Amino acid sequence: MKNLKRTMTPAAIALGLAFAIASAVLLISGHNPGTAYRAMWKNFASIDGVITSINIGARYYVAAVAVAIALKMNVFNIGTSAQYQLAAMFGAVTAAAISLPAPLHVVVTLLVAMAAGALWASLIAILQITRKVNPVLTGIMLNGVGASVIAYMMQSKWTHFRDPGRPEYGSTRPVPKSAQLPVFRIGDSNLQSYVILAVVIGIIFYLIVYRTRFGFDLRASGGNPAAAKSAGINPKKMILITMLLSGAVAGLIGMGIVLSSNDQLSYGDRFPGSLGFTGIGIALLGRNHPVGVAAAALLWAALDQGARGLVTVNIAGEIAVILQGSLLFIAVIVYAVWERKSLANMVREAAARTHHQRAEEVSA
Amino acid sequence: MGGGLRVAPLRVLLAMPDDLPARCEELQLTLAIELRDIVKRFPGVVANDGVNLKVEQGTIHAIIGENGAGKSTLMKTLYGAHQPDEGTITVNGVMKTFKTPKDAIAEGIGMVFQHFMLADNLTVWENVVLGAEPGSAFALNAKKARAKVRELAERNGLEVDPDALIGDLGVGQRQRVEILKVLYRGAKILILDEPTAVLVPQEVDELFASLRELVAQGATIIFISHKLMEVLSVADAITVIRAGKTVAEVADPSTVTPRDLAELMVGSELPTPETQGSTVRDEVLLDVAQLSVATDGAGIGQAAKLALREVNLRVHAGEIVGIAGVEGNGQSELLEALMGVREVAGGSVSFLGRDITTESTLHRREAGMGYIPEDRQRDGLILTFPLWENAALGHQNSKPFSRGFWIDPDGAREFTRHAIEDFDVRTPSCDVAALALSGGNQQKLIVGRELLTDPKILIAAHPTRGIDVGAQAAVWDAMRDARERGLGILLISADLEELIGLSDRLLVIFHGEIVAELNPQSVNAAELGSYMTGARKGEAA
Repeated sequence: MKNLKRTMTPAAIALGLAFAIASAVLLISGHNPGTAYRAMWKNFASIDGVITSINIGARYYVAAVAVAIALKMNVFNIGTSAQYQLAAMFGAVTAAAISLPAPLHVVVTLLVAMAAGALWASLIAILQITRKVNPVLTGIMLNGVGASVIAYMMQSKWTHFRDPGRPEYGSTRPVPKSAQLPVFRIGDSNLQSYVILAVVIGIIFYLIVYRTRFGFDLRASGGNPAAAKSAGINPKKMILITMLLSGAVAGLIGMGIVLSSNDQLSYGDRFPGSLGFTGIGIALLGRNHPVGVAAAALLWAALDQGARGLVTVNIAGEIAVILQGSLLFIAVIVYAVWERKSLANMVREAAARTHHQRAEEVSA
Repeated sequence: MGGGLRVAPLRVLLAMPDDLPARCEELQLTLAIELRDIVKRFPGVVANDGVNLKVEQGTIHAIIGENGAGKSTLMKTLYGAHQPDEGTITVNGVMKTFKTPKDAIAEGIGMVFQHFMLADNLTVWENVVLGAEPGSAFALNAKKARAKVRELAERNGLEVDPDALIGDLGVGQRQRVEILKVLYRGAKILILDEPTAVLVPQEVDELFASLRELVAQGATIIFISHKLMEVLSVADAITVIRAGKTVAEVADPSTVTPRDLAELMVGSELPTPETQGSTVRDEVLLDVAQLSVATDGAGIGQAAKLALREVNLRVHAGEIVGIAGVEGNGQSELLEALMGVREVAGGSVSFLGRDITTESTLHRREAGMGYIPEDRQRDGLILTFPLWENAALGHQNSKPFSRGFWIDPDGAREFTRHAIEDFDVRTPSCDVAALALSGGNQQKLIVGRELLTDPKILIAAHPTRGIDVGAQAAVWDAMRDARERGLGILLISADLEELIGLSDRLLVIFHGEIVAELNPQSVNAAELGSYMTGARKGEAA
């Protein structure tokens, strides 16, 4: 309970401040914040609004977990953008090119996507390990390279990649039935089963990081690289494995879009390209913790959903972007201050209690 | 009986503490600092419970006490880090209240911390003026700053080159820079928190010379320590604190012995680091042959400089081999090469008859090498992790810390509670972060972790650095017990008493070479010192 309060308080402070800033912007631009928030709430608080938020939130969650894994050892995988798009492309192409019985078809497709993401991420790790290249630089540059690779592969001469049947779209061939992920019909809305995959990823993330030896090594390397090295943890090996894991998860970010029967069922021009960076923000907002990140992903998606209601009251939807941006910005500051304060408290408490022990011993 | 006689004056003082203030006033001493009946409470406890302190102007005043006795709390009160709940602070005869350290600095009170806070990539003068730069808001008056730092250093006998990079300086010189920082801000009363904890004997002598010079220039120094010999050699007066209370004030240190002070500090007998009888067995645990290690930062194409040159040494089962040397003569490189953290340039290391020169740190640890690193906060702990996770560090792949693929928090907690109990780690629980513990308690946790995991050999650097007299005895006892059971220990220490007292054999390292092998039974500190500084070369191993 105390733990929950300790985590929730800074998040609540950040959220409050973010709404204050957005309200100020609304007031300055001559709108009533109350009207705006009512319109946002109205668009979110319906079965369809909630389910859409959950569907989108699941993507955000996977995107954030991919980043959070690496951040647990203080490695910044800023290259998830290219990793998930390459993975989605190769996943979609594989799904359309092979034919297998239903569950197996999905599994193979997902494995191909994970492999593609991991492979692209491994380049960052290998360059860091062998040439000491800063992983942030490589990550950003490989995002550019990845985009070029995709543009090259999606030329009309590669008919496995660019579907000649739908030249106007510029997309891969449609994913056949046996490779599709089912959706659950709730009212008039479709809940994607990809959400379950996201939950499973979250649980595995938690177990690996907090319960396994590997996770201990991971966190130790992030907490104090020198001490981890002295403890026999090989930093190079850790960087490689962590990047592979991060990239593999990143490979799944877009697979809900590619495989869900109510979604795009292909990779192409209409595929969202900003999930990678959104994931970085959500990982920061959720403090890299499996549960915190889930809350942050759902909040982010809910704000997205609410924003679509703003047109009904003639307010620019960008107000939600301002909300998300200031939320992230303030949260990072509030967390840092809060962390400092609680560490100082901990030190003081421990010091006080050890004095106490000492005093008892002496008087005894 | 002689000891008893020497204690007598102290006992007299203790018998009539109420009389003391009167006597001081009688003598009309100018007090730089007077703390009267300081009480500082933390939630549920009283850390300082009526502490009195009187520091005369122009003296070196030592405050001694065990870890956790309340020294640091008291000093924080004095330099304004927090306010006392009761009691008064008088500076140069005027009563003061300090809301922040700035107020204390304004009154000329400055603090030199145990852990240095210097920017490695800046020069000495840049570090000194950092935060209080001369010049306008936009332009730093570098010339003026440099000149002032140089002048300050020369006037106070703090020999250090203002243009040297901090990263290139040794510990002793860094400390001088810290002192200069405080002086630069106009401090006349300096508080030094365990300044000798990180220094080797020669550096300690230099520091003390500097302190005397400072006092001669009119400064007043408050010196916190628990190294009794040092306190006695430098202090003009001593205040002993135990469990938050002033238990003794010694006006004339020449009337007391270290043993007397230790008794006052702990209220029990002073331990000595002595091993009785040899337990050395024939089995060679560690065999280092012709080991060479390159220095850091040897550029590409440059001939690598050697930090360690063709070192030969052996550690047998049941043997403690001590390595004496002034810090920076290759000890760090030796430790790291033995643990596989650093690459070797030549030679070999064998452990239990197997060549492990190219093996990973993990294999070495799993084969039974325990390791107490030189710098506990950098190499031995993850400060933000709870104690039980820190206890697993280095042993994370074995029982009781893990089971197969999974970590075992219950097993690790159980182990940690044992270590806390056996090594008297003062902590509320095994779930607090390591950073919440004092340095001494952190060290005890590391020693406990390494000794309780049944190593075959222990590579130990400064195992009792920064820990108090009582706990020091426990660590020495544990090392002796383990040695009797057949543990081999390679002991690197700056504490000569510890080295001579514990070692079966003593090797002296100088400029990366083993220059002498000595018998600790027959060697004395002065002789050892002459080998350590290279003044003598002798019976090389």
